[in-house]
Amino acid sequence: MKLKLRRGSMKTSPTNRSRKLSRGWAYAVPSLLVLCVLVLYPLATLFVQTFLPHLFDVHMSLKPSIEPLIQSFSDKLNYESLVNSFVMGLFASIAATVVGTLTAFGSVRAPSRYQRVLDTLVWVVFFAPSYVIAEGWLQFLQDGGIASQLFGLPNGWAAWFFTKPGLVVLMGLRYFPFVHLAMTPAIKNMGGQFERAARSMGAGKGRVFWRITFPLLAPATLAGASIAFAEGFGDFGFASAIAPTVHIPLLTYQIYSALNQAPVNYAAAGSLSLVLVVVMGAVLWFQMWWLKRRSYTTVSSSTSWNESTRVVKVQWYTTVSFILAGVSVVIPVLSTIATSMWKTGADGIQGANWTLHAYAKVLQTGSDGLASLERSIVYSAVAAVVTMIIALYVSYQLSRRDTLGMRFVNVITMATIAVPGVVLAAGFIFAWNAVWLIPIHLVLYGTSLCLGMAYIAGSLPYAIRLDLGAISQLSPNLMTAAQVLGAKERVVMSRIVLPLIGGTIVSTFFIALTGTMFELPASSLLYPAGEPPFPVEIQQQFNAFNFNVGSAMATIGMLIVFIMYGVGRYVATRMRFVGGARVKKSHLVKQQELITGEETGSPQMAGE
Amino acid sequence: MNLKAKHVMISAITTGALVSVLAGCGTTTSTGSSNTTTGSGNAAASNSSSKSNSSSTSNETLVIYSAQGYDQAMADAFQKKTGIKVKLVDDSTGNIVAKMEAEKSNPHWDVAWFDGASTMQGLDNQGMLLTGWTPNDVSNYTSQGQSLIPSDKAYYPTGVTAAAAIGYNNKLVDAAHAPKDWSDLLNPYFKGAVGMNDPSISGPTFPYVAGMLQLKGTTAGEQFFMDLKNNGLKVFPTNGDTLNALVKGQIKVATIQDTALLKGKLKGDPITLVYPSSGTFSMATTISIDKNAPDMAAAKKFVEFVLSQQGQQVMLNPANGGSDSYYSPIIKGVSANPARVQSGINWVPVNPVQAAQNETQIKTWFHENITN
Repeated sequence: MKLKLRRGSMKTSPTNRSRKLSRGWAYAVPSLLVLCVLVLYPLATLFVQTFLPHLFDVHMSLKPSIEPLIQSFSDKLNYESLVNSFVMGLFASIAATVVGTLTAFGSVRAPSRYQRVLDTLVWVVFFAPSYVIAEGWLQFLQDGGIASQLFGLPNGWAAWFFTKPGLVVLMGLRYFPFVHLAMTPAIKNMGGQFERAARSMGAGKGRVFWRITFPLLAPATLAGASIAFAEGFGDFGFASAIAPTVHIPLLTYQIYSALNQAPVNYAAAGSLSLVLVVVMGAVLWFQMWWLKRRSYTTVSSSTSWNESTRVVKVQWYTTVSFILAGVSVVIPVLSTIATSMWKTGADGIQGANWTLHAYAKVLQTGSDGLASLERSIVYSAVAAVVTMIIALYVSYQLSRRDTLGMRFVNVITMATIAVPGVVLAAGFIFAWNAVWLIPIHLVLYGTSLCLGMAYIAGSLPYAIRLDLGAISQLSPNLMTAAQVLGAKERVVMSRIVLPLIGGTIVSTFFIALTGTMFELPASSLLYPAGEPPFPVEIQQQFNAFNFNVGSAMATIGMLIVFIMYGVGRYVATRMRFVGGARVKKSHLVKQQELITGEETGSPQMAGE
Repeated sequence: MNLKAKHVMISAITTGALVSVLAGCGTTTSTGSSNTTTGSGNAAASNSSSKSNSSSTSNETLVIYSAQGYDQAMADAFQKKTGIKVKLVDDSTGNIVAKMEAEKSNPHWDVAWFDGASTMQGLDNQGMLLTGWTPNDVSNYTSQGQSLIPSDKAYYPTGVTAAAAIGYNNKLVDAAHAPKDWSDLLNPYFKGAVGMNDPSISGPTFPYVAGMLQLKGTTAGEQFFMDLKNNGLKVFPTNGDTLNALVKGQIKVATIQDTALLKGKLKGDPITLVYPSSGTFSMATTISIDKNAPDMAAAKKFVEFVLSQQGQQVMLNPANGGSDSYYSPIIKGVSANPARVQSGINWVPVNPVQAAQNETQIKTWFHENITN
């Protein structure tokens, strides 16, 4: 195992360096351009209003003002909400890390059929939309809700869940899949040889964990934890459904209310979002700095273990994992399904109250629900394919070229993970409806193309981070060796990189797919008039108090995503088989196949 | 070297392709979105272009931004009657207004339609609305309707609901304690059992709070909410949540929009509806036209259709509008849904100009003193 070489540490002579750096920007151009169109330009139009509040007025004015900034920072509620969001995000991330680490070990070191069930459970939590999970928990926990009907509990039994610690627990159960998905491949790649070596030298179990296992997994843990933090800190769907009931002011909620309540205040939304992005940027930068200190390559060209990963004994942590993952899926999802099958909310679980009427209503031919579902399926499929391709391109460039330009791209993709959907969507209006686009006929706002771009922009940063995590686990020696042996870049990509990170690429596809299927803020602010997508229709049902129809639509959406996931997994497995057959000729890649071991098709998520 | 040169070239080609794709999407209106939905997604783009050269209005398309339940049915009925194509954006009032504000330098809408005159007044204050226009049948308004038309004629009321009425769970509240007025809710009998919405989140709740401050005077009005809080008031996000809490027995009384209470009652939930004797705050549903509407003529026709007998009948059908259909009509000769009690309501109109002026202040006060 080589731990010396770092990504991008190819030898460069000093004379070459300046030429390389300048050309570095040329390499970065396509990646930068994509990010500009999709992320930077829209965000800039919003942020700039912090200083130019009248830029998008009926009569454009370039008069600068720091009034919005002063206003935002003199509001004590904003401070309170910043602190709350930070603390909640932090604790939610810790809770998610504990649960996610447990389930990752529980999954990797379990017999494979248990593994499959557990991974699937985690995936359901991962792709189920936040607001559905939140509504599900509410239906279950609230006074007179499903739990109290089932067990005859008095009002106020679940009061604890509607406090800050309770919310942290629910958020931990919501965000642990990020940690799980980041840790699973890392634990797999780590194998057991280091632990066994330490054990044979006489180290105790605890010592092995703290001195070997834990440090080796630090990058994956940090990557998962920081994304969980970003989600907890920046997520709106989950917090907004539960938090207003408990009246904990949160930063995303402050941003939302600046955008969404009369009088609308985009300048305030811009300045608060700027705060959000800065905090997130700092956290992710810390993660990067930590990881930069040394290499964590676990898949290198000289690794060769083919130990049997067949496990028979079920460990205690596998059992606990099943309970945790089960609770986090079964309760909210079943609550949603139950709600979708009630005639009236008041009668709840009483025998005569069950019906499939809501489903019939949604699936009626020619209904608005069905039309919007079809639209969203097309949007999701297109956005997923495009996101997958762009993410692969950008992350490959990022991992291969350590130039100033690419570093800039890297920072952008990290910072934008933090941007809440509603902020990005508002930015899209300003950016793609701006008056300066009228003469050049580039007013994209109001078209389905604009909404599609916003969907891609929403998933792209995640997809890039995921791909990058997987690619950076590959030792640069692999690629360099192939190139030395005369392989062109295209060949390196298709014969080495693609087969090795195939599972992750499939994951990016599903992130974009499910993200688009249930994305609410961009959908509602950007959809072309007269053509609402699925999430807008779901929200309209909830707004009109048709909880059963709304829940039925959400259930149908989840079912469709679940079926697509099943098909995708099947296809990925087949592809791996075909790929495996093809690369049999190449000794190098054959060796790699051994390294990745089984289950390459399983969802993976890894940070750098 | 060779490899790198080739790579730069690929980068350049990719860049060029991207730019041309984007440019192509903006100029042509049929190919841009071919990979997603049908070409009709470009309505807004064609609107903005028809705005920049207003001579070509060959294919009239009316774009309506609305938060009303019956908007789809109205769009269909209007299209059937006039042959003018209608494209609807239906969303919550908050999202509609957010969109309008973000678009204000290059608007895409012709008609806006939602609950709450003070919110509409806020848009009028920024000069976004068509002013000084009078619909044909303006004399058909009832006197209550006439009183709700602003002096600059920037928007018109299409119906009225109560921003808040009292609804109690009749399985949990006995007849002796049935509330009749706002002050009854301060009775210790209702300790911890009264619910309302957060005015920062729920649209109709702001006129309720502003109306209370107007009716009782600012100090006494604020005191009323403080007293409610001291009696254990529970604040939920929106109508749906509060109604849910009422039905599930978490609270015994809800003070929310009357149409929401009525819909729950008609669905079979154990709710009794009371209009407070000292005053019920009326909230107008308002409609307005974009000052620079790309399709001004069609927009005016639509507003007149809404105010016509035919249009009102479409709006009043609960199959079209859900709870929104239980509004109180303000057009002569149009009667409300029979389920609605119409007599004996002591309507108090909320002054939209004043409410719009104090909106931030009132919401902040409520958030800091009552919600938290």
